[in-house]
Amino acid sequence: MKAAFPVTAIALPLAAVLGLSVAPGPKKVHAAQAAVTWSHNVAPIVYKNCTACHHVGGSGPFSLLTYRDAQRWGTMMQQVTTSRYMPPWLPEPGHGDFQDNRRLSAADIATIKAWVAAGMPQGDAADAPKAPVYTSEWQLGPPDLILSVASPTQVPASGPDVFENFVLPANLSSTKWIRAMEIKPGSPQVVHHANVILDRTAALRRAHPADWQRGIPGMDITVDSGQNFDPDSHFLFWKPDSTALVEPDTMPWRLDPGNDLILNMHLKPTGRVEQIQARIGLYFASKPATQFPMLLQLEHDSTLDIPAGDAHFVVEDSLTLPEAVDVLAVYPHAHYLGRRMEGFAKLPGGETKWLVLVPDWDIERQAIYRLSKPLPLPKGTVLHMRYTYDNSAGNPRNPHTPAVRVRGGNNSTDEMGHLWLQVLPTENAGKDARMPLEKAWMSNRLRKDPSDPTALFNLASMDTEAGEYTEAGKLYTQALATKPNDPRVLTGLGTAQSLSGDTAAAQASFQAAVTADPNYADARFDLAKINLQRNNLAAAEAQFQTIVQLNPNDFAAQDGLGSAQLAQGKSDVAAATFDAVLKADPANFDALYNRGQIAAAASDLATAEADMVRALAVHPDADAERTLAIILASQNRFAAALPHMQAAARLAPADEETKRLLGRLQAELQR
Amino acid sequence: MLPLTAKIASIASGASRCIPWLLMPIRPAGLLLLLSALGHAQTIPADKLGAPASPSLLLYFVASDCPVSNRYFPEMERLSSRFSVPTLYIYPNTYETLAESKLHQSSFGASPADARTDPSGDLVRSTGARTTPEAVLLTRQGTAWHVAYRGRIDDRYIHIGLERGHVEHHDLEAALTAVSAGRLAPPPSGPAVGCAIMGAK
Ligand code: HEC
Repeated sequence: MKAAFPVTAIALPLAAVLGLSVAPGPKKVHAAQAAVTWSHNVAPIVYKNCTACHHVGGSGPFSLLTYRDAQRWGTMMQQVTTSRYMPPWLPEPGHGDFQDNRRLSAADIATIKAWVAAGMPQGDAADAPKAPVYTSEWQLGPPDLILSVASPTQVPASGPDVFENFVLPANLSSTKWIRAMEIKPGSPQVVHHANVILDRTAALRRAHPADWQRGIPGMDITVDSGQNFDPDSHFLFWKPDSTALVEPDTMPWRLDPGNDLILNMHLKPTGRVEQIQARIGLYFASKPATQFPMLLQLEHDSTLDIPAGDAHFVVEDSLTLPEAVDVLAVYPHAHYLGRRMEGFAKLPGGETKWLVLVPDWDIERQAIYRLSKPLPLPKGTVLHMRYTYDNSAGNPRNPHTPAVRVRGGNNSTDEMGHLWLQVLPTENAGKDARMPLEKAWMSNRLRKDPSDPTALFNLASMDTEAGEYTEAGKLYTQALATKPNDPRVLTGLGTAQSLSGDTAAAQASFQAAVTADPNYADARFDLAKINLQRNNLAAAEAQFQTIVQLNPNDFAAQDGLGSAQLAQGKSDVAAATFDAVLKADPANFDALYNRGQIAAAASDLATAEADMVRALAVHPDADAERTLAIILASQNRFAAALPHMQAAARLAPADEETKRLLGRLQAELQR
Repeated sequence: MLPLTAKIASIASGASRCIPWLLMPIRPAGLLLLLSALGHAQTIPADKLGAPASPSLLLYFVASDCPVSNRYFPEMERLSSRFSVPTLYIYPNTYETLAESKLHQSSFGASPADARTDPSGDLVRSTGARTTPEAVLLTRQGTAWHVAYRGRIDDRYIHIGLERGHVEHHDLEAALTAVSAGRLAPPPSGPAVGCAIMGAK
């Protein structure tokens, strides 16, 4: 019989001396109780709550699948379940109702304890449930797309935890909707958690041209979300017992050509040098999303300035919902000084609903918590977060001894306080239902920090979208005060100026953006476009040419180049440019339309007709319809021309020229 | 527990010939262990441990499947080499084989030759080790080994699941420093945290 030693060396002699029941107890002590056995009582608990991680190849350090395993780890199982270290689960019960709640019941903990006290008997092996089987295969079968980190990374044997960001270009040729994702972190015992972030503009890759393949250090990162209103919508999170992350049918997430996935990993040294190389498997949905959730954030990082020794530093934030939403999931996040995290909602009627309560935060066990069922919150609900930090020597997780003043930031020695919520607007279903939420969120940020460039930028972009160009211009200009020469802000400002008709100011803004970042293709594209618009044709051609040289697959720039060439009367060169585009992208509308125009001007009516027909197959367009009608009419094919001219008139009812041509065509047909 | 360690340590340091091992030649010899917990001596045959005849010997009780124990390998290696003390890694759990222990040693950067198992449970019994990882520092006194220090390596772990951001007490290092200077090893400042030993009875 094995002795059941307690884990601390100090406790044993005392226990041994006192003859406590840690040693296999005499039978009579337990005779009164029904015998607790592995097979009958403990195996079901362990299989349900432990072996998803504790199996060979899993994230747990050892397997708990057999009686022998359990017997070897029995005393520790009792210890870690009593302390609630295992299974890892931070939320306090009764403060939010979550899926996959891993918290053990008091009865289960008592069973494990009684079993250990009874000397860990096996009982009748035939009585035991069948052990679950785990495989290292992809859980949902072969993925539609597998992305791998470029090269293996070494995690040192010891030292502080490592936080690394890996860029995985998706290299898609068309947009895909992702219904499920599985992350295979490589070596599960090294990886504490991982987060996938969508980098719509490949911003991180562009910011680290030399080292993005190796991994970029940092606990948290911020990336640009692109040109359109496109808020983050999904928690793409891996923790040690995650299998595949399956989204609801109506809510796949979008992945576009040019997007990167960023795998943000928390790696823990194991005692030996480990190599990891993560893979991500993606499963495509057959249909696009019809419901569009959004991630909302509460934070007050600008007040995160925790004096050394302060054991009770509080950070709070609140946000009033401008419309009704369902809360789908919550993600509380802090670094090592975070202690207690409260998230709750105050409904307009005065009722308070808990979103989450973490009484003893531990970053090592952080997770996303998905609600068992969506929590509806009416318009006017106030979301609250209240986090408490302990920057004293009394916080054992404090990375600094002696304690030092700690401020907000992305590094593990900085602090952070975020409460993320995944919400789904319930009043109207479209993507833009999220706009009021974004606006409320950003306005809230601005209230906390009137010079917050992210808030100013996003609010300005929303104003631009709403056609309020003057207001947008003001906000962009304000953002420039904090981020002078920021190419994104300058480009936004240029766009607002250009849309308000001030092309000269727009040109200056785009030019400033290009000067600030010569590789920023969006700014250069806008500059080229405005040059084209202002008839600075040679300049436009040169700008487009530069973009194309940097990225030959930038077809929009190729089309711009052809247009600039065409406008200068260089139709042969322009035609060659469009030919090149069409070779790579046969359904490129602009190239087809322009090549058709060139052919028509050269009286090559067969080519012109074919190109216009192809262009119209890509998408309806008034100009293309009208051009096609003219091409047909000039061959006296009036009957064939008529429906195209009618279509043109339908698509552009205000166009006088089309009306006039339609009248002439009808007259011609009556003759 | 604390007074017990201190008493044994004081026996060890009571010997006037406590020479720093740094200067001592290393050669194999018969080895006696003093049973620490109950205070009666027990002989361990030399071929069993194959330990050197230096004035001191460091034993690390480890387990290949214990994550805390594994995380200590770099620190254990650092201490052994800093003090040039002959070191053995004892794999006391009965399910560990010597061959596997040697493999484990090499993958964690320790010498395979320093691996030992404890199939009879003698080492666990005579040193009083309970946990992996746990360090036992032995000093030679005549033909017997005395336990000069037994306990945690440092205070990185407060309990299972709670790890300090910063190690504050390097207990074993303090013991090694003291003993190498001919002083009494201070007892550990807190319990060893790790995995219970499932040794032979
Ligand atoms: C989500 C995955 C997961 C689940 C579920 C889980 N564990 Fe663990 N467990 C781990 C990981 C990871 C470690 C290693 C911690 C470390 O690296 O120190 C661990 C460590 C342990 C340890 C050793 C403690 C140590 O650090 O030495 C014990 C004992 C344990 N688990 C028991 C259990 C039991 C019993 C259950 C079920 C009631 C359970 N675990 C459920 C992931 C899990």
